[in-house]
Amino acid sequence: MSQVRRGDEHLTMSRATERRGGALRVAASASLALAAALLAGCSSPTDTFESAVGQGLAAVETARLVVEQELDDRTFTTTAVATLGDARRELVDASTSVAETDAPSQTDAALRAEVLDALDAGLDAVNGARDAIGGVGSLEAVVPKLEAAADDLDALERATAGAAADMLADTMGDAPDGGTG
Amino acid sequence: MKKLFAVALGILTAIGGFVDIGDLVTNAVVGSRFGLGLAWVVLVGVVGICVYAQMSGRVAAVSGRATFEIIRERLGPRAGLANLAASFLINLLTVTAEIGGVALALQLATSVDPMWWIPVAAFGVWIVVWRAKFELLENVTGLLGLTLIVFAVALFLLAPDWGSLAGQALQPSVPDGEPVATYWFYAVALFGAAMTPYEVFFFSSGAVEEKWTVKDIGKSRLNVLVGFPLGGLLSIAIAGCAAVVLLPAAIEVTSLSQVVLPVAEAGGKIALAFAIVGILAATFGAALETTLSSGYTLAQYFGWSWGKFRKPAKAARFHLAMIIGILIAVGILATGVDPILVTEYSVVFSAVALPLTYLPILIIANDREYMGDHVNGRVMNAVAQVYLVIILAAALAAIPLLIVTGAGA
Amino acid sequence: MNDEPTTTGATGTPRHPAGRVLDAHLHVLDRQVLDRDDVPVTTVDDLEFDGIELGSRIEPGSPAPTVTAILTGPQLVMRIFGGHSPTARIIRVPWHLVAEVGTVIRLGVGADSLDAAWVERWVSRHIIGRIPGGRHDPE
Repeated sequence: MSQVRRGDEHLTMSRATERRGGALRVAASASLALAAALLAGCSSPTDTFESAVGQGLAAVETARLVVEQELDDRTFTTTAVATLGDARRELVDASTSVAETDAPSQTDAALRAEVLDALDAGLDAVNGARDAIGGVGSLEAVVPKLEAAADDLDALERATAGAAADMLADTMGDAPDGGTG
Repeated sequence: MKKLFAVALGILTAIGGFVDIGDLVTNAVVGSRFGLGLAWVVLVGVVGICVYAQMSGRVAAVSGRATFEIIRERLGPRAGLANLAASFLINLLTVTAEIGGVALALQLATSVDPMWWIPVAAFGVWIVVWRAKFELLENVTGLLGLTLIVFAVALFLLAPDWGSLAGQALQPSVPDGEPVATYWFYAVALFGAAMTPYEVFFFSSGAVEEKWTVKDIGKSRLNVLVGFPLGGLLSIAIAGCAAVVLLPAAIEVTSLSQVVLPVAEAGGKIALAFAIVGILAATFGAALETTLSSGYTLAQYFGWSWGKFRKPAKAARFHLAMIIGILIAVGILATGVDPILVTEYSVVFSAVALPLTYLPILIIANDREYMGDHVNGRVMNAVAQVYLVIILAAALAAIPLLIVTGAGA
Repeated sequence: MNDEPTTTGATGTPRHPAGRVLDAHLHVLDRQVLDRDDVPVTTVDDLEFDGIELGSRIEPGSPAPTVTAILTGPQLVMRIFGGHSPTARIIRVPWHLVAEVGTVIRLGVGADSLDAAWVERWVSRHIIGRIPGGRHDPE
């Protein structure tokens, strides 16, 4: 039996124990596709409103807290400015997510308008605070604005939570609870 | 006396070095949404990292080999490559988060936009890794990180209802308005934040560089067993502050500025100054450690020359890898992505990567060829195996929970 | 797979070999290679043998195959994903340079004299060496 001589190609361990180098399994992208489907899936408008209101409320409360600290001289102005900047960004984020939501019903449309208004009021107040720290306007005057915006958002939070609960009850076939908030 | 000082230094740097941006953010988020209902996770995580850090230190001291070298040798290049890819990428994500954290902390101090601080922070990290007295800087950042104790002080100053806090911690429950899946998502995230893989790579590589012998094991054990739990207590204090001030105000933490609100509330400007200094030191120190870890993992897998005690020209590829890593981190941050978001993803993916790191350590710690008579005792093995199960559970649950909860939204 | 660090010719019955018996897969492959000064050079990505052809049987009584070199370079990729690399690109570290085999493989020469260290030398000279401070000892 003649063997093909391959010149000076020596035997190496890798060739002696060679396995077919398989193509990498693409199970990963299959599960990624599934994940994308899950994500793209279901969040109702009420869910979006609820989370946006929560986001806005957190931002307005943060602003209120840091403004009080600034008035009390318990924080650095630089820190307060950074905090207000973060709060403002959250409010803009929340507004955008609400503004881009479709309203499949009249109630949803009305709710959306209310939420946008409340978030706008919050944004206005936070901007006022930021301006006041920069020297435009008075910081004390901003406090009641922040409080009002917070109260509105708080009420809305209970309303949207109630609406979401009603929706959930509807989809599960139970009779909705007798009203909330 | 000098020995006592050295021991104290070791413990103190372990405490200060335990907390990084992942711990800061995750604990604050959890405190602001779940109160102390997830404090038990911190305890579980602290015990876990004590067990594994101590094991990897012993492995390095006895065998003279660092973790990733052993991973490659024991698991073979194929499995080692998968391990390397996952560990390196997650490490890179953590580097990004830490550098972002430094920039955010600098913003709190100066109100200059973090985007300007990112190149400064990155350069700072690089220059220390490149030239500076590493030993000195590690001690400085570790000790300055101790100022994070202000969070514990603030918690006392806030005069909270201790009974209710204890109730939250000892009888954890999911609050209304938060889905159960989100609770477990944050449990996994907190676990990943406490048991960061880079800690182990850094620890074992340092042990090899400093040529630890069996005698050094005792000292390291002390540092770990005292330092890390105290660091864990700091983490719980951060959560506690958020629970007392932010939770009642419906402030869900989404930025670093909110993390320090309770401290300013409790102790005014002085306390706030301590907190900012502490955050700066902790994140910078962690940035150094994670950058080195990324270099270590690559160099140890490919067999390159490595080490922070070698001149860069003698560990060229090691340093090049770190430079590229830092540049990638800067690139990611330059896209304007929120560093807090990067942090949250980094801790979750850390949890996913944990089995890749810890399983090999456990295997080697039982391997007589490497360890001789210093293999794991039966108790240690039992504990380590229990933790392996926990780690696997967390790793498997992490991604599904991430998807289902929309990253904890 | 058994492999002996010294060449012996077996005659008739296998006798107890002089020197240590190592399992190439377990004790040599993927181990770190250090040079004379304990500087890491590379990993053992593959081993080269002499005295045996792929696919042929070893007849009893024939001389044992010997290890002729440690291979590195693109070998690692080949081992993981399969395939062969052209002979020209494989980097060889002749086995006679090996001084000690333990948890690491120690060479008796410095890294500077090795082909296997060319990437490190290149990066060191052209990139790292050019950045200020690269050639200084860390403080």
